[in-house]
Amino acid sequence: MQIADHISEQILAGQLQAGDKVLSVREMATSIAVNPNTVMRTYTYLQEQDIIFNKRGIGYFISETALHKTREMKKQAFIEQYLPQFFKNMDLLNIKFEDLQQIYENYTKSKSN
Amino acid sequence: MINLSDITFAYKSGLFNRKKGDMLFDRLDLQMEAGQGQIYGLLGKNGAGKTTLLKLISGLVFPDEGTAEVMDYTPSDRHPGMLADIYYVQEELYLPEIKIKAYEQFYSPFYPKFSGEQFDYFLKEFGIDKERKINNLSHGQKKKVMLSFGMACNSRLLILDEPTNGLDIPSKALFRKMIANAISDERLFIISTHQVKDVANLIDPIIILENGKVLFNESVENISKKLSFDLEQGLGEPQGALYSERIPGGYKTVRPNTTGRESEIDMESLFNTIILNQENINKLFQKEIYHESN
Amino acid sequence: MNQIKAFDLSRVGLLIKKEIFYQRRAPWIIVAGVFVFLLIFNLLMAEDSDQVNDLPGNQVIFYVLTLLTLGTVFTSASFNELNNKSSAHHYLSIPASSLEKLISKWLITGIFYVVAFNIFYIIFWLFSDVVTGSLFGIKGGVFNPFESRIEMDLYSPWFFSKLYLALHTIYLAGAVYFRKFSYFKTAVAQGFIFFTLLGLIAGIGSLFFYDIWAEGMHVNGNKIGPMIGESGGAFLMGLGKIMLWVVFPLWMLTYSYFKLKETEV
Repeated sequence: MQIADHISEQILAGQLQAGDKVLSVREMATSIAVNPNTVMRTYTYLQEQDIIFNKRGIGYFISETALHKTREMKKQAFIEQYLPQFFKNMDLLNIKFEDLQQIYENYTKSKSN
Repeated sequence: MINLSDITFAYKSGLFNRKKGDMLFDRLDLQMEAGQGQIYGLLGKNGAGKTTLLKLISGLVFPDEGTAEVMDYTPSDRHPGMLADIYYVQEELYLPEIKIKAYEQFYSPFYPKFSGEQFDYFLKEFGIDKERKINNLSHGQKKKVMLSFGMACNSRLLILDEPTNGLDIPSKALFRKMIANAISDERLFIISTHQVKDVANLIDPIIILENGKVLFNESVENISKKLSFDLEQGLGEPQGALYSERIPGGYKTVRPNTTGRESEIDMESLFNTIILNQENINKLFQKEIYHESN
Repeated sequence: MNQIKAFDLSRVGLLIKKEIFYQRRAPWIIVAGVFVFLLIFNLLMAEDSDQVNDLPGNQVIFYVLTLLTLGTVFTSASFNELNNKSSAHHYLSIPASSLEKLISKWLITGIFYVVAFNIFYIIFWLFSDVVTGSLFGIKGGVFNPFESRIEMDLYSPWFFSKLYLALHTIYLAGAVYFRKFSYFKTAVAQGFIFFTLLGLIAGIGSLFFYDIWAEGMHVNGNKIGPMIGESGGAFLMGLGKIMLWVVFPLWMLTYSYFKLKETEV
């Protein structure tokens, strides 16, 4: 699933855009040195999520809905997987939600500067 | 492509090799098929018989009982047609005292699908000069020569016994890339190793040998569906895990996968889980077979 | 599926090519050593000799001894690959059948060796003749195996080469069978087999021809014998010949074939 993350990040960062060709299964497997089966399973999964589509005999391409779908998928993963752990740590460290808000505002401010 | 059934094998000793020693394989069954990315990982403890199994497949030792079939040949016949479609890179290498170029010249004609261009390419990637004499090379360099030659033979069956032993760190990465690139629908690779971390993302399916039998033979997909691998923080020993191992800052755990989410397989934990929980694992993996057949 | 045949002469050729390339260095030292050794003996004999005419006859023994000894030692080493696990693994994995592997070894240690040895001996003879000639003024003092001599009919190089070809098969079998010190072990085994065979032949012969042998035969009142009758002798000779030239080598080669085929690592 690291392969899916990798492709998702490239989509979110705009490096891969709708209509772009994705590396073939063999190219991807070779470039990151993993079993082609693993790449194939990832591509099937991304296809099910409408992030990429298969043109028979040509290869896999980024779909029109990719950016939207990827963001949805990532958001869901963030909420379901990342946040519970995050909240658990907040409780442990006794950080209040207001403290967090303060930190976040500082962060956005420093970023816009 | 490979079909072993009811294989019994014991080491032989004594005059004329008649006396049978310890039983190594006891009614062993194993089927292997080629297919996209079939890079079998053969795992097992010391003395479990990994190398003997590989020799049995390639016709270098003969079973006492049972039948073996490899690419429609009986391995013990050592038919040239079978041998030309197998390349076996040994753990302990034997190489004649000649130049790499001469080795290629004398041995490659026996392999009809050998590609000289590929051989040159692999050697170049590994940084080995073809003009060098094989006996002047280090163990790791010899390994590189044999791996390059083996991959360039384009045999349908490529057997690698501890391929990463002796390879330096950059070469291990190169090796993984080469193998990932070389595997294809018609080919089947077998990697036998203790260095599971070196090939963790490469091997699929996973075979585990234990007590003279194939204890486990599952695809990575199946494993990730059935088991979940986590790093759990905390001080107390994790409850309800099939396997847990203390690491700095917490525990590595293996649990039955209840969420349906796939996690990264930790090969060492997987191996330990299967050796320690044979019954639970059997139940876990058999249940699904029952469902599928319904 | 079976595009690759079980037997293919071109693969035998490949094996021989590989084998000769491997052997290309080691024998030269031995060849040079034997050459010098023979030369010294030849000179000593030539210097010592009064009768020039006896010389060539006496020197037959050199030709025979070197032909047989060098050849059988060479043959005994022909399956050295099988001595060690990983080299045996390598050799048995070479995509060629056991028959092809055996034939290539047989050709190299048999036919090729005999041809090479005779060429070697001619060169030696030419060289030696020049040396003895210039040192002692003796011409033709060295045995030339290829000079036709009526009195040496039986001892022609062809006879000895044939004898070598028949005998070396047992060393080939020994090379496949024994892992270490195969030359000595084979030599011992050979003696054993030789006497067993001799006993067998003599036994069978005496069974059929004992009467003739012991008592002689009465034909029309004339006693012939007592000794092996002419027909009995011919029969024994024929049996012996078939045994030596045909049955024995084939037996050894068949044995070597199955032994090689069944060798495990």
